[in-house]
Amino acid sequence: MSLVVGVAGASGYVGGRVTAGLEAAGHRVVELGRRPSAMGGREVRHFSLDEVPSPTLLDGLDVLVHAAWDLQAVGRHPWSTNVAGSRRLLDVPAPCRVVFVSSMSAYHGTTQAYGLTKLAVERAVATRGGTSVRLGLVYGPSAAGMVGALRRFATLPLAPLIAPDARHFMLHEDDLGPALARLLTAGGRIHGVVGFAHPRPVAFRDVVESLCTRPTRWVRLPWRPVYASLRGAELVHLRMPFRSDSLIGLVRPATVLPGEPVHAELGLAFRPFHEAGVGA
Amino acid sequence: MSVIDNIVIGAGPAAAAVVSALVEDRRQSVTVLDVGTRLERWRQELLDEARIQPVALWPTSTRRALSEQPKSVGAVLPEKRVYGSDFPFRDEGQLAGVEAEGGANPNLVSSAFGGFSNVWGAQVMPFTRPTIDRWPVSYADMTAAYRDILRLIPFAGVDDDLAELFPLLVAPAPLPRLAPRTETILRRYERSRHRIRPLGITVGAARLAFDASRCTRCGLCMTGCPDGLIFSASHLLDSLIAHRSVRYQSRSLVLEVTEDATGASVRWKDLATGRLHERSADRVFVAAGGIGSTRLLATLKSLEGKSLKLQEALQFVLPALSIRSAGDPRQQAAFTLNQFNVALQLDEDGRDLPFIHFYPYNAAMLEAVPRVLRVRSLDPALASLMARLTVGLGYLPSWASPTVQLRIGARRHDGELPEVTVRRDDFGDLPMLKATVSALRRVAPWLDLWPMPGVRLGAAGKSYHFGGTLPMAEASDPRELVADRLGRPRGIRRVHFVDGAVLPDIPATTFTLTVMANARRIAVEAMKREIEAAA
Repeated sequence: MSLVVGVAGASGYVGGRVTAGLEAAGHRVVELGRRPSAMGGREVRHFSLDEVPSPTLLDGLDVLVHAAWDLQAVGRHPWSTNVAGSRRLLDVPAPCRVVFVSSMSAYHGTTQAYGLTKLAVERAVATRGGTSVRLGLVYGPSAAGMVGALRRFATLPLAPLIAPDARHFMLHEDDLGPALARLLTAGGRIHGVVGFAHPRPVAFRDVVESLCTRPTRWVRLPWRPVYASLRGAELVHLRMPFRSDSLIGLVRPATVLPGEPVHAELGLAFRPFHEAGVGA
Repeated sequence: MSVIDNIVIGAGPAAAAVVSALVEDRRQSVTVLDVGTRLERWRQELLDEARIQPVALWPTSTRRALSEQPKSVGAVLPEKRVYGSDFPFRDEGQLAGVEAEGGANPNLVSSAFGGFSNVWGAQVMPFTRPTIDRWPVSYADMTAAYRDILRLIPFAGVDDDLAELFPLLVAPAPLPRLAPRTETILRRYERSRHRIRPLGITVGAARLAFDASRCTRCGLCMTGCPDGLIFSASHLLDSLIAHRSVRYQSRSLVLEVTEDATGASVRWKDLATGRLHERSADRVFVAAGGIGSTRLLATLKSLEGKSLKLQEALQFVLPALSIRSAGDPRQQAAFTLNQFNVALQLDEDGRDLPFIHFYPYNAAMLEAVPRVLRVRSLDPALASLMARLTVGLGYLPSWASPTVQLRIGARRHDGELPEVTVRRDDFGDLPMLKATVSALRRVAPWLDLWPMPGVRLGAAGKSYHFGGTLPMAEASDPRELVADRLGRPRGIRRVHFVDGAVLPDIPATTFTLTVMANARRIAVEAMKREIEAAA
C-alpha cells in the first residue's frame, strides 16, 4: 500500500537516505523543511525547528517521519531548538503516525548532550504513541556525520585513536531506507523504540581501520585530556573538527540494541559491518 | 428512546466527572445521592463578607478564623483545614465501621460536597503512557477524556520538559509569578540540564487546576483561597446541578447497592430523619471514593471476611535547604500551592517514576517551627531559615510502596455499611525511596536544593492516592475481583464503579485528573453502548 509520508529534514543526509528508501518502496514523500532537497520535484511544506509550525503542516499525511535535527544547536541551545522544536511538530494536530529518527546515542543513562536531547524527543514521541528508530553509526560511501568526520582523520598521516575497544552498533546507509519502509508497512503495530543496526557491535578500532584508504598511524590517547582540550577550545569559541560531546558518544556507546525481536518480526535486514566494509 | 434513570453515589471529583458526561445527553436523568457536608454557615458568611476586601485589610480575627493551619491528627502528616474548617473530614456516619490500625489515617472517606477535592493540592497531570498501556483502556481513549476534563476545569501551567512525559493536552493559562526560590531552581535546572537529565531527573513548573488569572498572591492557598480560585469538584457539581436533568439529594448515606434482572437498586439512610429508602435505576455509578466505594462493592459482591489489597502511592515529606537565600519569603507575595515538580525516571520506559511536588515557603512551615524558636530575638535566624527552606511532598508508585490491606468485615446492623479495617504492617526497605533521595543529593549542587536528613513517611491512607481494589482488567484476567473497562464487576451489568477503586495501579504522579478522566470515559462509553444496543 502506498502511503503519503511527510519527511521533516529531507534535505539532510539521513533524511535523504530515508526519502530515497521510501520512494523506492513506492511511497509518496512530502518534504517538510526550510528548502527543497537536491532531488526536487516533490511537494515541499515549510517547516523549521525554530518556528511554530503551521496547524495544517501534516494535513493529508499518513505518516510523519521526523528526521530534522539542528546539529549546530548541540553546543548552543540544543533543548530550545531540537527538543522544543520537535515537541511543537509532534503537537501539530493530525491523525498521522509518527516515526522519529533517533540515534543509538539515546539510551537511559547517557551523559551525552546529543543523546539526551534525542532521548527527550523519544519520550515525547512515545507519549504520543509513535515509534523511535535509533540509528547505529551510519557508514557507507557517502556517509556523513560521525563516520564522515572520522574519514577526514583517516586521511592524515598521524591521527588520534580514542577508546579503541568501545563497541558500536553499525548501520549501512543503504539499509536505512528499506528498513524504514518495512517498518511503515507494519502499520501502527510497532511502538516504542527499535534499533536500526546490525545486532553485533563492532570495536571502534575496526571501524577506524576500515576507513583508511592510505597508511595512517593511529596514536592511542586517553579520552579525558582530549575531551578537556576540546571543551576548552569550545569555551573560547574555537572551531574544532570534532565536538567534545561527540567524543562522549564514542567513549560511552550504547550496550544494548533495543527492539531486536522486531527485526525478525518485520524481516529487517542489516548487513554485518565486516562483510560490507565502510567503502562498500 | 425513553428516559434513562441514573443514580450517582457521591459528590467528589469522580461523581462530578460522571455527571458532566450524563448531562450532555438529554435522555439521561441523574440523581446524585450524597452526604453533602458543607462549610459551616457562619464561616461561609464570614468568608463572603471578608472577600469583599483584600486579604491585607482583613481584621486579625477574620484572618485567624479563615486561615487555620493544618492540624496533627496522629497520622504522621498534619491534616489540612479549609477556611478554618475540618468539614471535608467530618464523620457524618460514613466513617462508622472504618477501623484504622497500625497508625493508619482514620479519615478515609469524605462526607463533603466535593469530597477531598475541597482540600487537595490542585495538581493536574495525566498518568504516563507506560502506566496506561498496561490497562484494558487505550491511551487514546484516556487522552480524549483528559482533554474533556481539562476543558471543564481551570488549568494553569507551563510547557516545559515535563511535557515529554506528561503532555499538556490543552493550552494552559500562565501561572502567576512564581516564588523567587522556584524561579532560581528552574533557572539552575535550565543551566545544568545536561548534567541533571542523565540521572533521570526532570524538573518543571507546577500544573494546577486553579484560575491563575485572578490570583492576587495573598499566600492563603493552603488554607482556602479567599476568592475560591482553586478548583473543587463542588464548583463543577454546582454548575451541573443547575441543569434541569440533575437532582441532588444531600444528607443521603448510601448503605447498599444491588442488582437483579430488572435493574440496579440503591438503599440509603436519610441522615436528617434516620429513615431508610430504596430506589431502582437503569444504571448506578458508584463514586464514593476508593474506600467508600469498596464498602459498597462488598454489599454487591459477597466479600465478608476477605482481605483486599489497597493500592496506595506512599506519600513522604522531604524538606530541602538551599545555600543561597531567596530573601525573606514572609515579605514576598506568592501563591503557595505546589510550584515546581521533580520526576525521577528509574527505568527505560518511564513507568518507575517517583514524583515530588515542591513547595517554597508557606505559613504552615513557620507554624511547624518550635514555638521557642519563634521569639523576636531569633527572628533573623528564622528569616534566614525560611529563605532557604523548600518542602517536597513526594509519592512512590503503588507497586513500590508498602502493601496496605483492607479487611472486609460484617454488617453489624441493617442500617450500616460493612465494617472495614485498614492496616499497613511494615514499610519495608523502600529501595525506590532510597534511589530518589540519592538522586536528589547528586543533583543538589546544580539545583542548590539539598535534601535534609529525616524523610517522613505518610501513614496508610494518608496520601489519598489509593484505590485499585476492583481493578479494570481484560476479560481473560484470572483474578476473581476485577472490573471491565466500564468499571463493572464480573457478572454485573448496571453498576459502574468509577473512582480510584477501579484504577489498575496507582503511579506516583498526580491522581485526581485521571480519576475524573476515567470516570467520564466510563459514563460516555456506557451511554454510547446503550445507544448502539438500542439501534
